[in-house]
Formats: sequence, structure tokens, C-alpha cells
Amino acid sequence: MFQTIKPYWAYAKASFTVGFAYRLHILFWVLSDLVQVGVLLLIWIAIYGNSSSTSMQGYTLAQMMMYNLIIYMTASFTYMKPLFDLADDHFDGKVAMSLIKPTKYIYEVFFRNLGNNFVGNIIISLPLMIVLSTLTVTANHGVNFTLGTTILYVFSILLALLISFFSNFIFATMVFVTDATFGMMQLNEAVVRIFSGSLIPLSFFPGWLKTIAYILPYASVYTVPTLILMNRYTSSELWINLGIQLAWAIGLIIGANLIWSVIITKMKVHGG
Amino acid sequence: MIEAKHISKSFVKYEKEKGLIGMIKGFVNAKKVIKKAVDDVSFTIQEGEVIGYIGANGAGKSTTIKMLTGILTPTSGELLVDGIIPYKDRVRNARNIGVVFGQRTQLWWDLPLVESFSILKEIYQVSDEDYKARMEMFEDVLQLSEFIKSPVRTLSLGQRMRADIAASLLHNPKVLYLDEPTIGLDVNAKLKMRQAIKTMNKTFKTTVILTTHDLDDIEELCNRILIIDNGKIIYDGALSDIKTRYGSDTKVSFVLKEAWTDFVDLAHLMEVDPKDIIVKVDEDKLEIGFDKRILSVAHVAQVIMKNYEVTDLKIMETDIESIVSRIYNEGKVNVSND
Amino acid sequence: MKRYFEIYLKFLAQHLKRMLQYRSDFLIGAGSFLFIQASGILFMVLIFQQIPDLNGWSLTEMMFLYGYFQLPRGIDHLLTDNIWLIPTKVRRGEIDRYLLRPINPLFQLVIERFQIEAFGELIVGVALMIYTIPLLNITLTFGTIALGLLFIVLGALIYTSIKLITASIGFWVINSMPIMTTVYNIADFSKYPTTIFPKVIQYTVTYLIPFAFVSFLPATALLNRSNGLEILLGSVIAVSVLSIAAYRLWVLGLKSYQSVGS
Repeated sequence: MFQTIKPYWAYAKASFTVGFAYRLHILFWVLSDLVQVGVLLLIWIAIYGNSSSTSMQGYTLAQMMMYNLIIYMTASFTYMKPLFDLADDHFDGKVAMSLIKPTKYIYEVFFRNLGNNFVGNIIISLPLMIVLSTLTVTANHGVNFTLGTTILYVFSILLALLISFFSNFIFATMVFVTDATFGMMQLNEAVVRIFSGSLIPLSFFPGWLKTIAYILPYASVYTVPTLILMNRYTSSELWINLGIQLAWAIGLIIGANLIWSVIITKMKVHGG
Repeated sequence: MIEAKHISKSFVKYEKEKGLIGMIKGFVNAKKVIKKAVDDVSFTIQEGEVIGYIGANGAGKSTTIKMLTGILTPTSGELLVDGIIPYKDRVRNARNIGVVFGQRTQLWWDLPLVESFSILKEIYQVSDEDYKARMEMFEDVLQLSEFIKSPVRTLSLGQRMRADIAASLLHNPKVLYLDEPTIGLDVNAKLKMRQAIKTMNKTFKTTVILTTHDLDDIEELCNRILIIDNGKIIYDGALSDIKTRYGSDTKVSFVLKEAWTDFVDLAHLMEVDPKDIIVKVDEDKLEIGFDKRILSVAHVAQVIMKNYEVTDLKIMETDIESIVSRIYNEGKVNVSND
Repeated sequence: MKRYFEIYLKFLAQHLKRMLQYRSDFLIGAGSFLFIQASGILFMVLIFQQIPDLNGWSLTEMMFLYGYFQLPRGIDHLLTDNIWLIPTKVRRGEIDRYLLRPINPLFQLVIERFQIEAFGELIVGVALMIYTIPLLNITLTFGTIALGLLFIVLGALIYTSIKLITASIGFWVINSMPIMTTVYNIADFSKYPTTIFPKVIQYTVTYLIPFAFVSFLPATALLNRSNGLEILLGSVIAVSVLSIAAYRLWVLGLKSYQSVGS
């Protein structure tokens, strides 16, 4: 098994190495994300300040802030943007080249993204995790962390990673094929943001919007792991949602491979 | 027209070690290294001259050109182009010059070529009559009408270079700088480029500075050569001089059937003075360098093939690299003799 | 001066021509922007289902603020988006070509791009204004409209100046893109009434990096919650200080570029 992974691991390492090349760049990257999270948290404080009750849709202010931090951390753990790879590679003719290589293109991109992802983890998630751990011990955050849910969180993240990558890969191939642009990417990001639970917990949505959210895979990437860690699921909900994640992961892996092989066949016929 | 007095340019580079540890180290503390790209360069160029500026890659050509065009400020020294200090009086200098960088276009990528020209006309304030006359000349020499309506990004390399050269000459600059203008071009495109340069130089006494690796460019266009090596000018003289002195350098290399162990006096065999040939041996490869006017290729080949079994033979005429190393070595020799 | 104007018109004509050529790209781009803005509005609507008002601001007023926020940002985005590319261009040596021509390099750089997608922001902004103004009892006199438009122009200039300052840092730092994004994200604070944030933030966004003067404070003036002339004065001061600082920094950056090379 390791033998198969070894060539791909080289791609991961390469991405990781590039990430550390510029120091200030990284520092400000962290800062920029911190600002974004900061704005969000402050807005929530203000919102709760104007509310007559201490909880909204089942979240106290403390829980809402934890939610935002955790979902942000989850987002950085599962960040996979294969569209850039696809676009760049196509531009450089690398797609055609990689068809000749023995490694399978999709997995090559996956491991490359994993490398990037790891950089993002160290940079963003580490500080976040430190902040969170301190809060867990010191603050009255109202979240019931347990060892069991934490372990399940890790599993959930792994599944979420797969879902994130493969759903983005499918989307990327669509864009790549229709030759659409930057606009599509923004659209995708906006949709994901809304329906993943990162904009606002899905429990705030009216019924019909909630239904749409549950049909799309994005909730499985962000909301599910977050709620697992925050121990907000009943045990049956927990296993059902993990099951849904698994189903999405498997389905998308198969789907992505299928679509990609169709495209490759088309490319071989038309010559790119 | 152009006066360079003791120009120098140094750059500071930060060196980082290789590998993961090196990278993290570089995070905290990187080593400073100072590189002198141009070292005490001086020359004077008259109006209407066509100068070939030669040197190996990294020798300092581009850096010099950048200083002349005002993009880079010299670390020390004085520079005057048509009485203007390029980096101080950037706008005035810019009106006087035209630039063609071989690798990058000066034109706007997405705009149709004709629009680029129209905008340049505004920027350089070219009068209507001048514009018309110039465009006609370009049409004559460069045949731009074939693709003048296309966006620059759709042009082939040859077309783009023709367009770039037209763009650089539109405002009749006093000085034209060309950085590797014929690189990657086919014969036809090269001819057109040279023709355009020649016409402008003849009609308007445009001073031209051309950096190139192409000997034919130099043959066709230049009357004077400057050679730069490691930041220093090692040769500044007429083209004819160089041709007389080094143009007949020839090398013939033989691949022998067996490694050459005979230290026979080849000079004696060929009936020439030992200082007239340069012999290099590498196991079964034998290389003989000589002056074509003293020895003929045929004679050298005959002698070797008569005395040894030869399986392959290659004749190499002189090229820029060897002229440069030849001149550089001579410079070294002169210095050590002092 | 006339020369610059004519050159700009020529570029503009080309940009518009290209927009018509690549209509679908433009529509998708503008469309997606609309969708992104929609998520912001969705957030507000859902929040206001939970609370009656936000520190004295009703949903309608919030939407007015949100809409007004889009306008200066949209104009800045439309006209000066190329400034974002300054750090990249510095790295790649692509500033050279601007230095070789006898006109202002910053002008050359800015006119090369006309970000048509920004129309999405403008459309959202205008639409929200049209929707909320009648509901808010704002009397539209010639004075208020003129003031509103003036604020929008000044606001756009504030954005551009701040953008240019952070972009010019790219002359010395290898990639100032993350710095630019950080600062730009701070602008998000002014989508909301700055009064809901702690004093530190209020101070930063009003006096340090004056995003508040772009849309929030002008909005309060238009909503008759504050003195319009005071805010105008503040805006003018902010614009003057920032634009001079920005341009000076840019020139300094160019000098550094010319000494260090690329």
C-alpha cells in the first residue's frame, strides 16, 4: 500500500515546501483570516446583545462563537481547491503529460492539494486549535467536549476532506470543459458558503432552504464534523450523519473518476 | 549621443540553503550576497551608430540596457543619453527611445494591433502626417496589414516581433534598444526585422544598440561591437577589426578509432609553427583549433586522416562564445604579463 | 491632460468592445457577484428574524447601509482593480514597460483593466437603494442626492488609496497580496453600523483605516442620524491625506524598483 502512495507523497511534499518560502506572506495570511473570523465574532456579540433571550435557535452566544471557530477550523482542514490545478495544468499542457505518467491524474492532484492543505493547517488551524484548547479549559463556552466525539471528529474530517476534494474536482471539470471562468468559481464559493453552514448555522434556515442544504454535499463537509465535535447530535443522528458522509464520499469518488475518464477519452479523440 | 562613464550596478541577493531545514533557517536569517552585474563600464556612442552588444548570458548586457533606458539606476557612475540622464529624467528620455525586448512584448495583449498603434500615437504625440508616413513604411518593410486587426495575443512570434519593432519606431526615437530581437524567428521574419532597422538608421540616423547571440544580425547591421563579460567591457571596436582578428578561427574535431596516445608533433606534421594550432585531446576525441588564413580545413583533415583512423569529423566555424572566451583569455594573459 | 483623457477613452472603448464579445463571461461574472451579495442579505434577513433591531438599526436601515456600501466599492472595483496586481507585476518585472513610456506609470497600469463584473456590485447597491429609500422617509432633494453622490466618489477614492498603499508595500515585501486582503477584509466592518463594535474597532475603522468614512458615516448622514457637513469634512480630510500618502508611497516604490531591479 505504501508503495502505491510513495510517488504521490512526493507531490504532497513539493506543495508543502513551496508554502514555506515566504515568511511575511504567511504571517499576513494568518492575520487576514483572523480578521475575517474576528469580524464575524464581533457581529454575533452585537447580535446577541440585541436579543431578549440568551439563546437563538439552540445556540447561546458562547456556543455560537465556538461554532464559528470550529467551523472555521474545519474549513481550513478540508480546504481543497483543485480548480486552480486543473486550470493551470491544462494551460501548461500538463494534463496531457500526466496521462502518460503511471500515476493517476486525479490522485496526483489530490495529494498535491493535500500538501497545500497541510500548509494551510499549520498556518491557520494550529493557532485556532491552540485558541480553542485554551478556551475549552478556561472559558464558559457551553460545549460538551468528549474524547469519543473528538475521535469521531477526526474520522469525520477525513471523510469531509474526500467530499470536499471530489465535489470540487467534479465542479472543476465542468468549468474546465465549458471554459467558463472566474465567475463560476465565485458562484461556487458563494453557494458553498451558504449551504455548508459557514455563513450561519443551518438551524437558522427556513424549512425550504434547509431542505436544499441537506440535498447538497456541502453540509457534510462543514456542518457535520463541527456538530460532532460540539456534541450536538443525538447518538442516532451522529451515526446517520456519518453514514451520509460516507455515502457522499464514495459516491463522489466514483462520480469524479467516471467523469474524468469520459473527459480523458474525449481528449484522446480530439487531441485536447 | 550616448555617454557612459564608469557605470557600475550591484545587486544584493539573499542566499537560502537547500532542503527543509534550510528553508526554516531562511525563515529566520538569510545570508546577504552582493553581486556586481556591471563593473566600471565606460563607452561613447555617436549618433547613427549601430552597436552590437555581445556577451554570455548573465554577463551584464540586460542590466546595462536597463540602465540606459532608465529602468534601473546605476550604483555609481554617470550616464547621458542625448544629454539626458535616463533614470533622473525618465519621461524626457522615454520620448527619445524605442525599446524591443525579445521575450516580452511592449504592446497590449488583448487589444487589436491597430488600436495599440493608435494609443501609442497619442502617448508619444506623433503628428498625423508622421503617423501616416511611418505606417506606410512599416507596411512596405514589415507587411503588418496581414494581421493589424488581430489582438496581439493571437499573433505568432514572428508577427509579434514585427509588430513590436514597428511600435518601437513609430515615434521616430533617437535611440533604439533591441534586446535579443531575432530570437526564435524564422529567416523571413529576421530579414524583415533587419530591413526595418536598416531603413530607420539610414533615413533618420537612428542610433541602434542591439544585444544578440545571432552573428548574422551583427554581420548585417552593426558597425561596432562591445563585448561584456562578467560585468566588464572586454572589447570595444569596429566589427571589421574583430573579423580580421578572430573571424577565421576554426576548429575541426575528430573522433578517432582508438584513444590518442601518440604525442606526435602535429604542428610538425602539418608543416606549421606550433603556435598556429591549438590541440585538445580527450581520449578518442581530438580537436584542432587554427586560423583559416594560415591553414586550410582540407589540409588539417588530410593530415589527421592520413595518420590516424578517423570515424567522425566535425568542422566548427567561429561563434560568439569562443570569440568571447578567446578575447577574455587574451585579456587575462595581458594582465598576467604586466 | 487632454492627452490622458483621450488615451483613457480609447482603452475604455476597447474594454467595452471586449465585454460585448465575451458577453456570457461578463454575465456569469456579474451574476455570481449578485449571488455573493445575496448571501450577505440572507444573513441579515435571518438574523432579523431573531432580533427586533441591531443597536437601534432596523432591517430596512441595515439593508440601506448594505446597499450603500456596494456603491463606492463597486466604482473602485470597476476602475482600479489592476492595482491588486502590482505586487505580482513587481515580482515579474512587468513594471518595466510602464517606465519606458513617457506618461505616468500608475495611469498606464490602472487603465489596462476595467473590471466589468463590478457592475454586479453596483446593481445590487442601486437595487437596495431603490427598495429601501421609499421605506425610510428620506426626502430626496437635489442637495441630498448631490451629497450622496459626492460621498460615493470620495468613498471610492478612500478605497483606492488604501488599496494603493497596501499594494505598494509589494515593492519591498515579496508578496503583499495577503496584506491587501487583510486590510480589505477590515472594510467588511463598515457593512455594519460601526457602533455595534467595541470602541477599539470603531476607532480603527474611523481614524486609522477610515473605512467608516466610505459608506457608514455618509449613510448616517443621509439617514439624518448625523451632521452631513461634518462627515463631508471628515471624508475630504481622509481622502486628501490618504491619496497623497498612497501616491507618495507608490513613487517611493518605483524608486526602489529602479534601484533593486526585478
